[in-house]
Amino acid sequence: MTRAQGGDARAYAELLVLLTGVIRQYARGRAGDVPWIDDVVQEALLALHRARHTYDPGRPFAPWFYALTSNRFIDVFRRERRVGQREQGSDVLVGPTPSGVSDARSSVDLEAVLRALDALPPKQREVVRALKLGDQSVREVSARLGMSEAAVKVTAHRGYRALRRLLGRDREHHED
Amino acid sequence: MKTEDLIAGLARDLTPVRRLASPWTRLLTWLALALPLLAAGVLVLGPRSNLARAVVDWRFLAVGAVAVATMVAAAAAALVLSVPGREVHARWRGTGVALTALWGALMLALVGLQGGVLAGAMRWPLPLCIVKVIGFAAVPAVLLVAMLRRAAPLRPAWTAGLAAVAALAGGALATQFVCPSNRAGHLLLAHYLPVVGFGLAGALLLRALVAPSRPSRVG
Repeated sequence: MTRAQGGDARAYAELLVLLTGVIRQYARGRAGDVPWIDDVVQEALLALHRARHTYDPGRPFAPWFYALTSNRFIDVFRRERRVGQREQGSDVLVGPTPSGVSDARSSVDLEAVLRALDALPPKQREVVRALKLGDQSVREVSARLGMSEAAVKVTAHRGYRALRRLLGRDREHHED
Repeated sequence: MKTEDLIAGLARDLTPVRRLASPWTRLLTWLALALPLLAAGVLVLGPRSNLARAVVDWRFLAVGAVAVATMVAAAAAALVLSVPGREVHARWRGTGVALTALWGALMLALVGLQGGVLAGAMRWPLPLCIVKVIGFAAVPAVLLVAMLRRAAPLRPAWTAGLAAVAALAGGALATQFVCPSNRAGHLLLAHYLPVVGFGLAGALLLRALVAPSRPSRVG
């Protein structure tokens, strides 16, 4: 890090590669095998980069490094928990379409949704289908697909975001 | 974005950095700037007419000493907190809070000693002294926040609160030299309580200012 402070890019890249493994291990040790480990790793690397001028070579590296890493870990952990909670909320709010609703608009929307669903990556498609069309719970999906419940929620959330994006584009296309 | 690409990008954009000085050097720098500013402010407003008598009064000296100690300890704690991993135990934060509490206890004891509880508090206009405390604290607070922003505080609320208390303690100290009141009730309400009240407000209002910018979401 002292050499990195002086502008040695090669030493810096080597250090960051080394620290990537340490951060990943740290996050796994605290949260288990969650899908957002890479978010922690990348945000911690960015935080180290931005705070590199605060490292004092006369003091041990570990307390400085772990203070920044644990700070980023907690931030990502809280953010993912909020996403999970929002997902649970939307699971309750977005229920199945009431039977008997068969006007032209809803059938067109459903077609658009199914088209967008097919465009999703396989894992997201399967999770969203199971939760929304298969009416399965997060626990059931996690057991069936061999994923943790948190991973199912995160995958579903990413799937919903992608769907929103795809549907927005679809709507613009129809309006043109 | 892949982590390998991020590392390559960070290494590619690497520039040499000027290392942050130790918290103690930065503390001395801040005091060297803040104390003359406070003294200049006292000279501009004009020292209290009874200053010669006040400076030999043990109560004036005791309150002044605890204000200086609070100012130094709170600033030191804020500067230590602004360096990741530097605060091994919450010793400095504890010292800042304990001294602020000791100051409050001293004020209450003086109110008790003088009797009449807070009856004399209103003898000198309260809002005027509160404005003076804040006015004196303003520039030292700006300087300290600028110094904290150059570091990387990971506990922005604590850091901001301690910085606000340090600057306000300096403000209260300077106000003591221009306010002619010796009434303990007045000193408690118009000099001490603004330090605590606006220190807490500072923790809420300034924390966004001292917080390092969050890395934008990647991927």
